Amino acid sequence: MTDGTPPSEPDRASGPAGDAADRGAPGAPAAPAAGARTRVSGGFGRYLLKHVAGAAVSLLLVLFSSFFIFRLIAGDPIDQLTRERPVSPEQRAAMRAELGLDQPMWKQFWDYITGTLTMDLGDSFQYRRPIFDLIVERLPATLLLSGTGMVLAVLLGFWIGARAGWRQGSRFDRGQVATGLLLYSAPTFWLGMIVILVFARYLGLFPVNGMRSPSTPPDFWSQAVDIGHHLVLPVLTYTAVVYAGYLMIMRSSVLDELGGDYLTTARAKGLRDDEVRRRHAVPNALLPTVTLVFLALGSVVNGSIVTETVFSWPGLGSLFVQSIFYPDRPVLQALFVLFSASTILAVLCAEILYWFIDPRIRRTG
Amino acid sequence: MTAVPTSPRALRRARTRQSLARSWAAYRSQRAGMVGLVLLSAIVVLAVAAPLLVDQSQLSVTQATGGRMEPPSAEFPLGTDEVGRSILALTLWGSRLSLIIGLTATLAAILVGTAVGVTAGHVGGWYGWVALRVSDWFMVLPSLVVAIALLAVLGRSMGTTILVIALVSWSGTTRLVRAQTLTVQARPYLERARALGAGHWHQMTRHVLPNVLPLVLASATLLVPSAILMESSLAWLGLGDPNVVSWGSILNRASDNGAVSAHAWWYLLPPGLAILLVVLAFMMCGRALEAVFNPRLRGEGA
Amino acid sequence: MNPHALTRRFLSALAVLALTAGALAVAAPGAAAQEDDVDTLLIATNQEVDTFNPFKRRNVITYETSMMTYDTLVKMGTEYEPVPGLATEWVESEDGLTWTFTIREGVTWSDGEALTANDVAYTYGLLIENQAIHDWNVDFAGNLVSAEAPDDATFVLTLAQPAPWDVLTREVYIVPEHVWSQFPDPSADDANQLPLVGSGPFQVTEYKTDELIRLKANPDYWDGAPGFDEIVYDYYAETDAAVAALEAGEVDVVGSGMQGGLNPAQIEALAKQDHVTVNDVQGRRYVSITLNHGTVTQDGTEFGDGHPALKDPVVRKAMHMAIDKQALVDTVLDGSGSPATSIIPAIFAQYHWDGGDSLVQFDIEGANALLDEAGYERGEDGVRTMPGGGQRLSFRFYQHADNTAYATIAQFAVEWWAELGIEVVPEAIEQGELNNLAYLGEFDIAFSGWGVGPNPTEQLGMHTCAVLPTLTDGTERSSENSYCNPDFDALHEQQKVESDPDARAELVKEEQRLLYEDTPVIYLYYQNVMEAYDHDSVTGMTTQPTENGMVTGQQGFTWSYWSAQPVGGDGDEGGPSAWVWIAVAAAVIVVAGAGFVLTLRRKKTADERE
Repeated sequence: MTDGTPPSEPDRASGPAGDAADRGAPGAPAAPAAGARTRVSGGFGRYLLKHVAGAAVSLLLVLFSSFFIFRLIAGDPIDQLTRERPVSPEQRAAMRAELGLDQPMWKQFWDYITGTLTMDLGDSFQYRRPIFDLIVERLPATLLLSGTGMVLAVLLGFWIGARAGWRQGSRFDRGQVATGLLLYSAPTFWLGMIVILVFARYLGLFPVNGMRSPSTPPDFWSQAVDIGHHLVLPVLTYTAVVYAGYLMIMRSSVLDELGGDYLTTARAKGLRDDEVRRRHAVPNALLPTVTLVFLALGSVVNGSIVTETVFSWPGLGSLFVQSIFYPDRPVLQALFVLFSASTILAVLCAEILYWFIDPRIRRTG
Repeated sequence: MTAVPTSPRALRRARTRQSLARSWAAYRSQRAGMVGLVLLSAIVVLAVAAPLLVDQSQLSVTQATGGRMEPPSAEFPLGTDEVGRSILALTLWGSRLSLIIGLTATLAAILVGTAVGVTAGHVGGWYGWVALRVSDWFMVLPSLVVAIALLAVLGRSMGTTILVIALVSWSGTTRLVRAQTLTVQARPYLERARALGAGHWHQMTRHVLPNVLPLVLASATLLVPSAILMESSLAWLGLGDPNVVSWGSILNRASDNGAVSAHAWWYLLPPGLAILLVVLAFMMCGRALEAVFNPRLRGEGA
Repeated sequence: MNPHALTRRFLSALAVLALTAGALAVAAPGAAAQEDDVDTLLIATNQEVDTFNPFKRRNVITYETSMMTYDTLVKMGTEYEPVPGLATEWVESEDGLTWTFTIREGVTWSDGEALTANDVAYTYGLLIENQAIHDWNVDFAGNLVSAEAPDDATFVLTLAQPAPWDVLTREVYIVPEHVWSQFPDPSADDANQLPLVGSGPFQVTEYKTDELIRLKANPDYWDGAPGFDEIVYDYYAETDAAVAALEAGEVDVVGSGMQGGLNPAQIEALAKQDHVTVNDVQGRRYVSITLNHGTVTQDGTEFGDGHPALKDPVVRKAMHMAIDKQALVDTVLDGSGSPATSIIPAIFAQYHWDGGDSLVQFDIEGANALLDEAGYERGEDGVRTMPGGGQRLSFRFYQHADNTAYATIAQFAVEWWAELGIEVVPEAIEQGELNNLAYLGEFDIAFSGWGVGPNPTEQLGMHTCAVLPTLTDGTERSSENSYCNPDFDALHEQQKVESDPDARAELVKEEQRLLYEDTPVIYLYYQNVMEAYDHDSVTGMTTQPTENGMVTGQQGFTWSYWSAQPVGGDGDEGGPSAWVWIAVAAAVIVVAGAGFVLTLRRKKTADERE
């Protein structure tokens, strides 16, 4: 049997990463269940080749399916462009030609494939501008929001998780696990609305949404402060919902280490309790979680759809939702490929990393 | 056990009973799990009894008696929506749909996932390879993105929502089940069964499945909250059926009608808290179950 | 290590977070309080720019920028009446085919060049000769024969058919020949090159996607310089954000620039603000439900699968009677609208038909009596069947899935119609799919809604026999609902060429009466325009109509923005509050800093003790 199970996947779907609905259960063990262990012979080269090929096939499938899925959205794009205005057949024809909709399907497909490969993604229906430019404009906003949120969530989750696991069963542990689970159970969009209601509307401390205020002077510092000001609530929401996943994983990873002989040895050497934790237990517990963090990188690009929508954050996620309702087919196509590619590549990276981290994988079976 | 069982069937039944009792004892020792179970039972009872507690006519728009977004009062303990209906009644009735969608989607995902997983593990060969590749592919796709895209394509209804949620969540179960199947298959008694001429069907249903099911149950309990969260997110984004009352669709109407601008906290809090509680309850149960069936985790429950 | 030290450390981390957040909360408004000496009118929008090419634009936002950047020969007045624009006067020939315009003298383009009749002839020439521009505007351009400028002050337009109202109300934006003739293809996006050169009160100079559109005032505007130095459309993805910005004084006008507009809750919240004026006035939009009374092609081929009962005017009338339009206005719109009669909203007072004697009253009993009389008997389940037994009266009701207001209306209608013994199943479907089904005739009841322009020809024209499809494949989408009535058509042709406004209005009203009585469509309500502005920074905006009119979403010319004046002393805006903020910031920083230092020190001693 030569199956190629990606060994780094957590048991349940997308693990702790990503906001919104696609949260897996927290505390899912990071390693796959016994028996799924990949048995590969032939060393790193073969391992690498196999996974790169797998990722390439997945990408190709995404590329193809993206074209056809969104073509299934019923309706004539022209109706949307001419919403609530009477149009003559001549006007219709002129607009079809302009959007390239008069081309035969195979030609459209060919243009799409060659275009995507050369980064020429075509024009958006709603903006009438190159999609590539749109993505380049909005990517930084997304990276800023989910990047900051992700880093905070990982740090906070690991920090609390390590301590909670170390003092398993203590009041701190129980309190933190309960808090984490509670926040984890809140729907992102709802938490966002409540946060807006309390901090922006009642207390007036932060802007309701968006990324910047138009009246801000254009100099760097004013802009930075303004964006930071807008960033607080979305990042707070994103982090609150996501960090529990990392907390639970770190906690169970520390629990696994608790019985280790090396800890007893370290204590015997007279090290203080928190030094044992910091110098010995945590580094060892971190190892299995590293691939998980890598996996989460994929969702930095696509993981904040709901948060962006609640806060009208001008990123890729809100562009995706907006395009669904338009519907802006070329944008949907491009974003679907981009979003999927980012997870596929993140998984690939995690797999490669796993080879170096988990020696068991190198065993030949 | 004092009585000596007489037939193999009785023996088996007794053994099952025994192991169930053991599992229950293990489960009962987990406080969080028990709290979750009580919470969950309460919610299910409320959902089932909703028609008895609140008459369906309270959902009618033409018979609504309240004013527009009235704050809580004696008549409307949780205030009213933009049409003047009681938020309490809406939230109670909403529980039915949210639970049905969550449970049905999970059930579908689990059924497909288990079937594919067991067969992929058991049969192997090119079928196993293809099944694994397909489930891998679904696993790496970002699920919310796929769900949004599919709903836009398939149209909005309860059925499509269930279908889409099941479609983005079956692959995890497949992987879990397949792994467990491989483990079980390597055990000596299955080799013995094979040697005795047991067919594929017999092996799968009598030996593999019973061993896989507990884990599937635990993972299903943890899938339900994701499904409920996903349903509410999709409905809030405006991708649900606006003609039904679910927690997500109530919140969608709330934000469309400017509940945030109007500071109508009573419109936002109840459905959201309801989602939170259900998800929390399922999660607590699921974690406890997992600890019961996965000894590695046992004893860590708080 | 003891748990208390841990908690302390956690608390101190929280304190740092809170401090940073607090500093940001405080610093940003302070930083934003700066003002410069340019008077800017800030308008909130969320609509993307399709193109700045005035011949091809489709969106409301670019309609507004075109109205400000360019001029038309004849402007639309504040009462939707024709008033002189670039043409000071005009004469229609006896046969209605030749129009002679006298072009205003001394008008210059924003780049300083003089505007002459040649520019006008060039512009109309594009409509006739440039194939793409012709196609985009074929409903009007198809009727043009020639456009000539015999001298700098005279422009002569020749038509194939008389069409006085088209000529007077059609917005043809006069573009500068000296700029446009340089473009390889004026129908393409060359015309988007900024800054735009025009003769209107403001010209577009800058555009950043989803950020802003900037228009600079034209101080030499022939009708007087605008009050503001510039207009900036600011992008807000969500209306809630625009509302908050208006409350905070960051934007001056919020209205039809936000698609979907303000909702009653937002208007209510804004009305409580001292510096905000809210404007809740009649609008141009109606919401209706189309009943599938049988879809046919021009040669009479029936297609689609509508329910046979809907072909019966009695059923349609009964359904109409069972709708309490006032209740819909009260609950769905929170009173911000008015019950509709027919296709032309009440805001166009001269063309609006009020229902007269034929006005249908909400009367469920009466509706039931009508159906009983017509032989639709109730079955055992309470649902009526076709006369003589057979098919149940069970209809599909398609609504736009993304519109929660429609979902509420649907629920009302379903409950009312259930009392008639008519079973209606609402189904939410995507807009695109809904259009497909509607034009294929594969529906029973469906939502529809339009924003109506000041020239009723356009809207009424969708109900003439001439626009019925020739094919049954649903690709020809000019007829709103396959309505075809020769009497209606005759009236329609007549009103097109009737030069006397009052006589024309009578014809238009008669058309509406026919439409109302045949009930192919039930008009539910006219939606109000809900808008708000900051009267501490802008004043003097002329509304359209002058009485009870709107500020945003004006037609033909942006009277409001042109007449808007800045309120003096912009500089002190937010002055005192900024100081309050700084004081608060200082206090927070001192307190939090002290707490932080204290925690650190206590932690140190605790650690040392261990």
